[in-house]
Amino acid sequence: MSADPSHFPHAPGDDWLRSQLAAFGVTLEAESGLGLRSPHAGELASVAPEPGVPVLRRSPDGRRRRSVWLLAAAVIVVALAADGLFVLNARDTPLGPVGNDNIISENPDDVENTQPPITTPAPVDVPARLLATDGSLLATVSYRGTSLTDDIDAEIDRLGAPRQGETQMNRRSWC
Amino acid sequence: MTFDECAARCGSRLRAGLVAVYGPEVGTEAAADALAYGWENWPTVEPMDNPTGYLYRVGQSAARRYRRPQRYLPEVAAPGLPDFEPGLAPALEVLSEVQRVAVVMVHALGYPLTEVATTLGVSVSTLRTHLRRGMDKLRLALEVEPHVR
Repeated sequence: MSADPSHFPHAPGDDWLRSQLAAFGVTLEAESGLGLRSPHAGELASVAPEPGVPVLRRSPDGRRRRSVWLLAAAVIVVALAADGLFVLNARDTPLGPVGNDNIISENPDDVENTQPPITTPAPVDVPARLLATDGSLLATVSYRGTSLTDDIDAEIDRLGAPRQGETQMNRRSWC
Repeated sequence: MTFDECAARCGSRLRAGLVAVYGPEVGTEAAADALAYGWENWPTVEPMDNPTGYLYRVGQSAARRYRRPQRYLPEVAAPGLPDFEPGLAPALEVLSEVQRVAVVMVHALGYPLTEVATTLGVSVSTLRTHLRRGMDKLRLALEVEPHVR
């Protein structure tokens, strides 16, 4: 078998390599409990009375490794969840880079200073025509930033039309 | 053959092979899982042509469930045991699995070629090829000068 030199040309240097491998094997044997020194043989015999009986065998090391994996998975899930919340928050409150003029302060007192002021459009004269019920033009009124109703009432007073509160019949008769 | 006879005959060999591949920690766990599987399913495993080879495959599958450390072979000798080359373990870890099993079981642990071949489920000539290639890689990694005949 392996003793045939034609198959294994053992060169000088191989002796050293084989001696190192043999020394390595001694340490490997000691660290792994190979052979009759293995504690698992007795463990198997103690937990399973007969062949064919299900064996539930978990070493403390195995449980510890499994716990470490579960803990790592939990940390990853929490990190992903936190990242998702951060993304949602960032989408709701868009923050620009530092130094950007678009930064919106979280202080509500600064809102007026940072947001553009809400301006009212300049008042313009709005003409309105006062028509009689038959469609004839009674007068043209205009208002500027005040109630159109007041302007109409004033014009009605000027024309001598019935005042507010008078009956609709009177108004219709006036028209 | 009973399970006890099989475990007594091939248990240490099975464990040695898995330790050679996955290191003392994971290899021992995988071998224990394989033997537990054999115990539990012995009526199915016993009629097989090569129960040891089958249980070795079971151990390989079991090893996937364990986290494998980056360095899994001992790099320094255990206290009180003979020292060995510190670069030997890293050089062994570079080998392919079957080459590592062949080199460690034959040259480090002293198992006969036939038993190692049975454990791996390969022929002796195939095992010799893996062994030769593994040793060549070790010589190259450790700068061992080959003998010029």
